[in-house]
Amino acid sequence: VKSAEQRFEELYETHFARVSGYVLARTDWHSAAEAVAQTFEVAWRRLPDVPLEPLPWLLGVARRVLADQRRAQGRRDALFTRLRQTNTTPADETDDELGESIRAAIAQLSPLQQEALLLISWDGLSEREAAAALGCSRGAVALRLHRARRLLRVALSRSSPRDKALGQKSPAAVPVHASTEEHA
Amino acid sequence: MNRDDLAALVRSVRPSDADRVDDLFTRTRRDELFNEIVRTPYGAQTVGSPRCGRTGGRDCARRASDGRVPGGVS
Repeated sequence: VKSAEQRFEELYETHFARVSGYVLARTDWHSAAEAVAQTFEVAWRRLPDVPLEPLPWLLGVARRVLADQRRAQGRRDALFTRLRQTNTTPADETDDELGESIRAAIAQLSPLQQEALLLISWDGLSEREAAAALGCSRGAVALRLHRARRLLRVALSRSSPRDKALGQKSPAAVPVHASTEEHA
Repeated sequence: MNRDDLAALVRSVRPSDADRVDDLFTRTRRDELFNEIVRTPYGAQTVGSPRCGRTGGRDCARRASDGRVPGGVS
């Protein structure tokens, strides 16, 4: 039988990079270091509660730690700020413009839509794992993803030079935030 | 635009430095952090844990306000 420390060490070594990557993609480096430390402190204190599949649980804790940091610092736009700091080196101006369009489109999504989309696209989680991280049902994640993708397509079709070049048809002129959209 | 294209576009704006975990935490710092954490009391209740919510708690509120544990779980 593993001791608590052995179990925690395994958790820590296995998931440290994924948790750090999740946090680093969403906030500045100083806040990220603090958030990673707090996330694993919570994991240690609540080790008996950690499920057999720990990564979604850990990312859920990290998500709440980041939310607490944002509240404490009075910042609501940390993700968007982080997106602006991205170190991508665009191959040409078209790519740079496209990247700006994508960032702007993501910024228009509701926080829950953003999180569902990014947990899957950035962090490689499945819908089921994303649901565990967000503490909601898989159906709720699927719905948020569906809406997020639809809104992104609308936003990108309006602004993306690549889409225009590909001959994408712009959907009917509806507001990006459709009236049925969730903002929870 | 199909789902894969859209996913690729979203992936393309993930901050590229987010994978530089070793720059954020060197191996030494990572080990130090581990030792710091396991020296703290194991199994202590934190704000946001289900049991903490049921028992209610001034203790929980006090621990949240001391800044050592992330409270106010949303």
